[in-house]
This record gives sequence, C-alpha cells and structure tokens, in this order.
Amino acid sequence: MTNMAAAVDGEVDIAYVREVLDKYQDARGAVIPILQKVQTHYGYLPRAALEMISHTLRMPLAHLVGVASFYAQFRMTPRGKYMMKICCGTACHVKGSAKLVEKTAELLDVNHGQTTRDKLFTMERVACIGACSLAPVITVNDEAVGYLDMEGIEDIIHKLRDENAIAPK
Amino acid sequence: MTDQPKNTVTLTIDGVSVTVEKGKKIYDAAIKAGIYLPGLCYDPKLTRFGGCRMCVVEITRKGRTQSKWACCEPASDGVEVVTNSPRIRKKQQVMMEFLLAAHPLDCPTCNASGSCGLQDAAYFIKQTRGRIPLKRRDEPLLIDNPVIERDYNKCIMCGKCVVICDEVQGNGAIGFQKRGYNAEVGTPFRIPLVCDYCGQCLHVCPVGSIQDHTERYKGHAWEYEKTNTICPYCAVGCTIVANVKRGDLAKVTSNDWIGVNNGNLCARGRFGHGFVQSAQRLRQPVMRRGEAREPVEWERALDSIAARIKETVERHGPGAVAAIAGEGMPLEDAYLLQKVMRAGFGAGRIETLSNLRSPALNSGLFDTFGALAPVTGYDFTRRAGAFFFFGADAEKENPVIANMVRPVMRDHDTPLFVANARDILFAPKERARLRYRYGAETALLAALTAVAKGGAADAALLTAADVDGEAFARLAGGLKAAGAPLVFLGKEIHDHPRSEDIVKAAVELAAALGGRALLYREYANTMGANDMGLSSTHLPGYLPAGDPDAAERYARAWGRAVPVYAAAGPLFGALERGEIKTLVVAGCDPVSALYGAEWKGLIQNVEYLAATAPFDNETTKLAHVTLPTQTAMERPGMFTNNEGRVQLLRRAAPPQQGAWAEWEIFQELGRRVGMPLYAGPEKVAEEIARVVPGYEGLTHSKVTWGGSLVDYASRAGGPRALAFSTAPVAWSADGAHPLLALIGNSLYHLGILSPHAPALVEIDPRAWVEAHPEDAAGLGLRDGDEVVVESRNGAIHAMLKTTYRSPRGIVYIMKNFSGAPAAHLPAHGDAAARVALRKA
Repeated sequence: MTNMAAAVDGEVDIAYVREVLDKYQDARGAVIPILQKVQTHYGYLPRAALEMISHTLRMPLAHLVGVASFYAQFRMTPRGKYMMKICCGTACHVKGSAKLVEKTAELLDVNHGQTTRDKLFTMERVACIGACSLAPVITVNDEAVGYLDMEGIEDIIHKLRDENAIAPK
Repeated sequence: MTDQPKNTVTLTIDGVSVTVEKGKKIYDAAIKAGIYLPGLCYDPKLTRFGGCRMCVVEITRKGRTQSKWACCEPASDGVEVVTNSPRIRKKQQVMMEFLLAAHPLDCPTCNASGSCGLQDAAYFIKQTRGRIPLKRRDEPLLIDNPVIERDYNKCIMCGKCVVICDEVQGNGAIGFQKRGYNAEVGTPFRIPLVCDYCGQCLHVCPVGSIQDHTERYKGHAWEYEKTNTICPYCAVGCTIVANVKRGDLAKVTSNDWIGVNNGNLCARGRFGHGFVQSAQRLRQPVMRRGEAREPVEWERALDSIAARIKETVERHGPGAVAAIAGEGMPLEDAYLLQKVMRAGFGAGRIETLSNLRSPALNSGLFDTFGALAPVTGYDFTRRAGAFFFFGADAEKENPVIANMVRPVMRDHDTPLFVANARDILFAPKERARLRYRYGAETALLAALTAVAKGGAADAALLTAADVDGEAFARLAGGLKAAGAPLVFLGKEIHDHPRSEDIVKAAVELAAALGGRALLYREYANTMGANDMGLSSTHLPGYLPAGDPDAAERYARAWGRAVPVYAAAGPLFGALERGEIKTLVVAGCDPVSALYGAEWKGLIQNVEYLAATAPFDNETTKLAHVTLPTQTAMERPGMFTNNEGRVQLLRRAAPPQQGAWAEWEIFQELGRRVGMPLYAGPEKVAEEIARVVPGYEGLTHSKVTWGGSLVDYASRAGGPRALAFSTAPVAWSADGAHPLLALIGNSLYHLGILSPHAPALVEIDPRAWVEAHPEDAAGLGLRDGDEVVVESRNGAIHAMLKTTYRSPRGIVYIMKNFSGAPAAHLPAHGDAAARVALRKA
C-alpha cells in the first residue's frame, strides 16, 4: 500500500523493480520473493515490471508469468485502493454472505476478483478469515467489519466514495 | 552379466533381454527391444517430465514387484520388466479415461490423425471415451502467426513443447499458465506467439494441439510419401523429411534418428521449402535480344554458351573466361563445373561468393592452416570443456548448432562464453559475455591466448579491443579453467575483411587450450564447393592449381589436358581492367550478394554473361542467357557440411517441368567440346570418389545413412606457425555517416531460395535494420519506422527495429532482399560500412 498512486496510474514507474532486482541480481531462485516485493509495492504485478524481471533474470516471460499465474497470491491486474474481501466461510454463509456478495457486486458493478473503473475497489470472495463471531464479516484492506447487513455494506461503500470524491483518480 | 562392459546394464523386458548404456531409462531399453509403450510425454532428448503416466510398467527386483514409470526409472542390471500385464492395462485404461475426458475426438478433421500419439495409445490399450463427464474446453483455434497454429482444446499437458522450447531452443516462448483445470500451455498474457518459428513444438507435440499451419488439410500422415534429404539452406547439414502427396510437397518434417540434427530444425529448414512449387520458377531458357528476353530451346541456349566460351578462349586466351558458382550446388555439379571449365575449355578462373570475399580463408584453408584447419566434427561438442562463440550469433545464424550445444550444457554443465561486436545473448545463459570493438578481434584473441598460456594480457591489446576489464578477466579465466574449448567462429568473422588473421588467432587460442575451432560456412555446400576445386587457386582436393604435378594428376584422371593456372590476381581487378569477356554465373546472385555496389556495373559490362538459376535474380536480369535449374530438393546429389560430412540428397519433390539439374547443364557444355556424358549424378559421384583426395570411396551408396566424414587429415600437412597482425582495423567515421553497419542474414532468410518461400516471406517480409533504442530516439526514430540507410556507396530502404542487441553506434542490417541490397553499402573488399539513418 506504499505507493498506490503508481498502481492507479495507467503508466507504471518501474524504478522500484530495478531497486528490488539490484538486490536479487542473478538469483533465479529468488523469483517468488521478487514477485512478492513488487506486488506489495504496486498492489499487483504490472506487465512492465514482469517484462523487466524476465529480462534481468534471463527467465523467459512465459515461465515467469507461469509462476505468477500459478499462485493465488499473485495478481496481474491493478487492484483498487480498497480491497473488499467478503468472507464466504461456513458461518458467514449461514448468516447470508451470498447476499452481501450480490449486493456488493451490484453496488460496485464488478464481479469476484475485479476492480472498479475508478480503481477504488476490488472485490473478492474469500474463504473463512477466522472471525466467525463477527459473521457476516468483510475486510476492507486490513480492517475487519462485522455484523454486516445490506445497509452496512452500502454505508461503507458510500463513505469511502465520499472520502475520495475530492480527488478521484 | 560378468563379461559385459562396465558402462552398460542388461535387463529383461517382457522376457526379451536388452543391454543399454548406464543412465538410460527403461523406456529407452523398451525402444531398443522393439517394445511399444503408450507413453506420451517422453522424448529421449528432453529432461524427463513424467506427466502422462501412460508408460507405467511393473518391475521386479530381488523378488519385489513395483509399478514404475518407464520414462523416469533408470534401467538397472537384472531387473525384470513387464509391460503388458492385466494390472498395467487397467491402470493405463484409467489414465486414458482421464485424458479422453477432456480431449475432443475430432480425429476425422485433425491433421495429426495417423501420426497422433494419443490415437495410437488409446487404440493400443483399447480404451474409448470413459466414465468421466467433464466439461470440455472450448477455446478458439489460435492462428496468430504464419506457421504455427495452436488448438489448446486438444492439449494433453504433456509439456514436451514447453521443455523443447526452453531446453533445446533456448526460447521459452511458451510455458504453463495458470493452475488446475484452468492450466494451459501458452504465451504470457495470451499475446500472439512471437518466437523463432522453428516449429520444434509442433514436432514434439504428440497430439494435434500444435500443428503446421502451412500444411492444413493438405493430407493425412498415411498419404505422404516421405523422403529423407538434406536441407538446402545453411552449412549445418540437417536431415529433413519431405512429405509429398501426389506430387505436391505438403510439408517438411524432421527425423530424430538419422543425420546430425537429432530432429531439430530451424524455421528455414521446416517451413522454408515452398520455393519448390513457386509460380515464379524459371521453366525455360531465355536469351536476351536487345532489351527483350525471349524463351529459347535448351539446345540453342547451350550451343550459344559453349560456342561463346570456346571462342573467347581462342581469341582472348583462357584468362578471359571466368565462372562464379553458388555454394548451394551439390558436389557433383560443382565438380563437373570446374572439370568442364578446366579440362573442357582450358579456363581456370573459377570462384565462389565466399572465395571472392576471402580466398585464403576458404579454399586456401589447408595451405594456410595446416593441421590446425578450423574444421572439426560436431561430435566434439560432447567432448568440449567449454563453448566459445566468437563473432557468432549462433541462435540466428546456425540455430541448429545452438540446438546441439544446449543439451550438452544441460547434461554436462559445459560453460558457455560469448564474445561479439554486438550485445547478443545466448540462452540459457553464458558464463561470461564480452563485447569488443569490431575490427579489433585479433587483439582480443591474442590477449585471451596470452592468458590461456599462463601469462598476462597486454593492456594495449585490451585497450585496442575496447573491452570491459572485469568481463575480460571472467572470460579469459573461465576459458583457461575449463580448457578444451570448441571455438565457434561465426558469420561476422567469415565475412570480415581480416577474417584470415582472425581465424589464425582463434585457432591459436583453441590450440593453446587443447580445443578445436569450427568456422561458420554460409551455404549448404560451401565446404564441398571448395573441396571440389571451385577456386582459382586450387584443384579438387586442395591441390594447388599452379602446380604442374597436380595438373598432370588430373590430366591423367580425366584424359584431357588441364591448364597449370597461376592465379592472375583477384577477379574484381580483372573485371575492372576489362579482361573478362565471358562470365558464367551458376546458381547464385553475385550482383546482390557480393559486398560493394561496384560489382553490378562490372558484371553488366562483361561482353557475354550466362547464368543458371531456379528463379530470376539481379544477375540473371543482366544475363545474355539464363538457364532454369532444379533446386536441391528435386534431385539426387551430395552436400558437404561445415564439419566436413558428406551427406546424400534424395529426390524429395518431383522436379519442376523445364528445369535441369546443373550437372546436366555442365556435362552438356562439356559434350560440345568432346567430353563424356554421365548416366546420372551417382556416376559423377563415383568419379569424385575415384579421383578427389579425401573423398576416396564416398559414393552415394556409401553415404546413404548419416553421411561420412571427408578425410581432411591427409590433406592437412603439418602444423604451422600462424603469424597474424593484432593491429585493429578502424572504420573512420565522418560527420555524415556516424554509425557502423554490420551486415548479415535474417534468421528466416538465406541465399537465393528463401525470398521465394512463402512462409518465410510471410514471417519476415521486408528488409530491416536493428539499432539501439537510444540511437534511434536521438534521430527522432521509433521502432517500426521506415528508414533510409545511407553510406557513401549507396542507400537502401528498411524497417527500423530497435533492440539492445545493437550497442550504441552500431546497426545491423539483413541483406537477404535484392530490393534492399545491404551488401551494396560497404565498399568492395569490406564487410562493414559507415552509415547514417534517416526517416524515409
């Protein structure tokens, strides 16, 4: 979350990738730590960053993207400023998380794994996040919000939209 | 088991006893024993993958029976292998159910039908679609390039294409993407396939998932008549397999089991043979009358040429006739050309394109280098301590040499070193890579040799070569530590104005480390053309043309006088002075190919020009008589590749109507001055085997399978001190022409045939120039721009490609299109030029 501006911008400044690669030069075994660092920085793996990693490590892009697309932890599309993870674990399911998913999808006009056009929200269904006592629960970035109903989710989204309304990116 | 050699093991498979090398897998032993295993992901030349599980066998060792995969289990002494028990069949049938659950049974319209591993395996174990309902993939057929089409619905995820692309081709253009049911073989981000278009992936694909797009619906595997022959492009000498259906060459495939290439081919070799049936083929002799060119009968054309040569010799002496021969001509043709010129007409000035560039390097090889001639067998790749590619961009020039080297690097961890005037890469990875200043090759090699001999490199040499000190130390130290390098000298060296000195320096380096040198040869029979005496200075077998004893030797063999020919200086000068009245150009296009724009005017001014070619080219357009010839795909013959291996060409495609083989043309010219006729090329080959030193016994029947090496050792003489100059050559820049242009071949083109191969032209349709992105940006140019490349000698149009392969200040131009003759940019005698780039 350190440099979300880069991720929401169309063009990505890959200076940080260079920095990471300098540290891991010639280390083909370090692919995953490199990808993790780059993803932490940009919020996702920008194509330009992957191309640069491939070029520097002399690892074919097809293989590098193969690694990135194998692991669920990596994403290659930009993520929004707010990551909305909706818990669909057993407890939340019983408490109606499916409706929350439906409502969120409707409000944001995105599906699972997608990001809104204004790059503000990314929605994901996730398995149990271990906060069953708060069911149904979602996390917004690293913060958990529990006992949610339809109005609750609407409030959160509106509030965050308002906060960012001044300088929409 | 007591008497068998140490490095072998003996086991029994289904009761058959079989002995194989240690380290081989049970699968290899089964192949050797002639037992079929329905494995789909195994290829002996690739790292084992163990993905399909179809080759499961039961092995019994010390009374204990286990199921193992034959492709992963090393063969070991005394084990008993069973491949056909009911239990194994059951396992294979279950596996097959899984495979067929997702595989569309499109066999009636699938081009792989009949050569499909899955079809064979399912048939063998008698398994049809099983119990598993699974949603099939419904991906569109991907046709995003001219030659390789991909249908991932049919993919069984055997991984062979991914592994060969990475391990053998060094490309890694495709890889496994995603995971689980969504997993697929593909390009990153599903971008169109951009690669070398070698087609190795479609060669190993066991199903119809990756196919030859050029072959689509032309035929089924069982309809083709298959003929092994030799690729007519470069000097590596790959075996190719022509697939012909009712007289049409539908496709070319490769053969894993014979020849030097182990089933590997490049784009030219696999997709570059469409020229055979091109509508542009010449089909009748043409003669010029004034400005017009009109078709004539063969007899009249041949009479005209023979009479003209004879008359020229009578009136102006034998020095007034010259021949320039292509190096794509088989041995028989090359041999007959020089025999007819020498013994028939008494004329001794015969050249090839390579010899015109650098005579000593090619035909003077054994005089100059003695036993240290830069010729070594490919088998040295397996014994080499290191690979050193010098001035060689093997991945683009001789891709199959790179294919040979990579598995050796994989299996033996042989280090790879690269030094080049450009920033070329060699995948997977060089141990050390160095860029030097073009023109200072000998200085760099002398410095490397000094280190190899235990001394220190002269700082002045390193300054001259303009190399990075650290990179030099890594390269020199690495070479010395590894020892016994195979020093491969590439096209940049072959064409270099100082090539002879550079090769001497490289040979000395190789010798100092107990290694060998191998020199790039441009065309399929460059080596053979020299061996056959297509040279003013040498008779066949490298006997000096000026030596009366050598002339006498051939006079006895041929029953006719052979002139003692003391070379009268370079052909260029003789043309300039107007001494050459009649010129014969056989199977090449010197007007486009020779460095220096001056050649065109000189060739045009010759009183009488006769040319032979399968297609019109810039030279035939000037010729008084042009004779249409068969290509090497249409006739039997022999080629000698750059390791000196003589291999047999077979008639792979029916000859095009109206075209003759060159040997027929030359013997007809010879008949007109009283020389004998031959019943066929095999009879010419028998004569070669009788009279040419080094070729003793190499007849068509002898070289049928895998070829035979020429005996150069007896020609070589003793080792010599190889003196060379280390002074660098400088290409003086002037303000108007700031860039240095190096000239070479595209990966997809070579010689006079490729511009007529539709698939190659579709892949690489126009002339291009590579430049550093910052050099381009400084001129306000971008990738893909149409540019003019201009030197003092001329200008050509090309498309700009920006790439880091070109260092700053250097551009690289492909020379393969006669419409953009890059060879005309340098002055005569040079191979590089100072140029300027500007937007067209």
